[in-house]
Amino acid sequence: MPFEIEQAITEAEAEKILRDKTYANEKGPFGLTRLQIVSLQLLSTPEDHKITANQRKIIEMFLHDSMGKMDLNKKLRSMLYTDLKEFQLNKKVIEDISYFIYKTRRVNQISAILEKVTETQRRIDNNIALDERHKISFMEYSVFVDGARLNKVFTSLQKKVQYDSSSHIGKIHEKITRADELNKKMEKSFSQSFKVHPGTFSTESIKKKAIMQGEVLSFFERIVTKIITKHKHTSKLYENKEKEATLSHINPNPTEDKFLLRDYLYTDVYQIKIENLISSKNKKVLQEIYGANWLEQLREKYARIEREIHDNTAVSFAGLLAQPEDFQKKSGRASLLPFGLGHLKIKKTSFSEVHRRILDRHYKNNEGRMLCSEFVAQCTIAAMVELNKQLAQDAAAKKVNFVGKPVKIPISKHEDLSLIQPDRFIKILKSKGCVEKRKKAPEVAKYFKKT
Amino acid sequence: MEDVKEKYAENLKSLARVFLHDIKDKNMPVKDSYLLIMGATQHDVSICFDKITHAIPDVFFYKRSAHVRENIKEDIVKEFVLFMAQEDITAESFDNDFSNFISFTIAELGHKYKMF
Repeated sequence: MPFEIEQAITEAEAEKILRDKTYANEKGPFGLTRLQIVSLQLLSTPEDHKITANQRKIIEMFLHDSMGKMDLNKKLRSMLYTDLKEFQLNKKVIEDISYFIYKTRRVNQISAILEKVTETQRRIDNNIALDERHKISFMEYSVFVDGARLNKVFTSLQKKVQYDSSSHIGKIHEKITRADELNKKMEKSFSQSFKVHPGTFSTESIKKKAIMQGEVLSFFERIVTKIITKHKHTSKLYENKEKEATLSHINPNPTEDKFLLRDYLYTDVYQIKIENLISSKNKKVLQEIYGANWLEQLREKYARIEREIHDNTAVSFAGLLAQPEDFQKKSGRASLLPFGLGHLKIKKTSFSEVHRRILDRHYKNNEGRMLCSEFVAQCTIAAMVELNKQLAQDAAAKKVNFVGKPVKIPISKHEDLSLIQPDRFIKILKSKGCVEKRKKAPEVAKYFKKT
Repeated sequence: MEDVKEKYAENLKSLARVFLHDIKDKNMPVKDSYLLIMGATQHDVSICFDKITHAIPDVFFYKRSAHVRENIKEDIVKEFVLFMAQEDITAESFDNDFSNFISFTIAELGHKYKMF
């Protein structure tokens, strides 16, 4: 005969559950034990309900025992279709606990994997050599990430239950927190080691991606690369005021994002070589103005302009939105016409107008739609026009003259910018010999097994 | 709605195919990459995507922009590969684990992309 549900658990009852195992394990509604039902009821109490020390012990015991118990998960999920209020149970709590059980189904493996990743990180931090056995496989990575994701659930349980850090569940929470921190650290160590030079952008070449990545990344790296990324387009990459690598892009709204490990793994990073866009005559003029380290000063100017354009992308370009999918397909079709005909137009684009719109924050209050790569192309043009303007001013001050524009903008005025897809953008830059693909840093490979 | 769902499932399957094609070693046949990465045959994976699609609420097929809906499909495929990397499809527990995967992934994506 199943036991009856009490309206509220008394202190005497809590003590009895803790003392008497048979009583605690007595089966009740839904085939759950008394300990399980009582714990779920306690977790279902309103936020301001104060949990006593004995009640806390009951919940700790319940959470620890239920980790990875998929039969209990099954029972809880079937309960979601019944009237839970009658039993003083909250639907959200039942969902959360079944999620907790499901996500802890590999909890026994998390410890070992965590140790491995911790050791890898320790070796990396202390510059100790790593061999294959310190690196993680894809399966281990997926368990590790699941563990890191659990931190949110544990944190909300801790807020409600206030369990002791020395309890079983507290110790597991500590491990989960460490997995979350390590996961973040893997990304941070990367972002600190990655230096952005002006004129850099990242892109994914859809057709050649497999081949390009295959040259550098191992099999597991390639899987991880695909799993953890979100960008499937071109983004402007620049260094913000805090010297952090930052993405400025339209996805589908204008946004700034930190350039993280997952982005780096997934994308190819290209850098425009500004010096290749300057004639030898103009290089001499630059040398006259700025002296021997003219290139360094030029890059510094260029970086400053990029910061001015891209800092606060979300606000400065608030009116911009990514082109819809059907338009992107159209721009893809333009590539199919021979000699780039689909991409060229008779009317010339006014680059000074492009410059005005970007630098004067035209899109802050005006609506517009662009392809992600068009955004990068327009910002590149605007930055170069601005750079030319500043160089001309400095030249005038020194009473010297450039032959034509100091920096030759690599994009034709006949190019239809609204159709400029990532592949097309790179093709143009390559044809002018002014772009270089950045080599992958060793940071990427160090965590993952080769085969 | 059945037509829409069928198309959706086909989209997921082809995304998975492209996914595996992109990451596999040059000389490895695609069918081997299914086995190596997910421990399942292409046929098994196809059935799984049918089941996932069947469980997806209707709002996923029309709400939000086409761009967002594409992102969701990619997320489903990525999450599925991560899930399969840990699972043994022949294990008795697989059905229950898979059913958990479906409901929690839908809930998470629904929340992430403000579907509900």
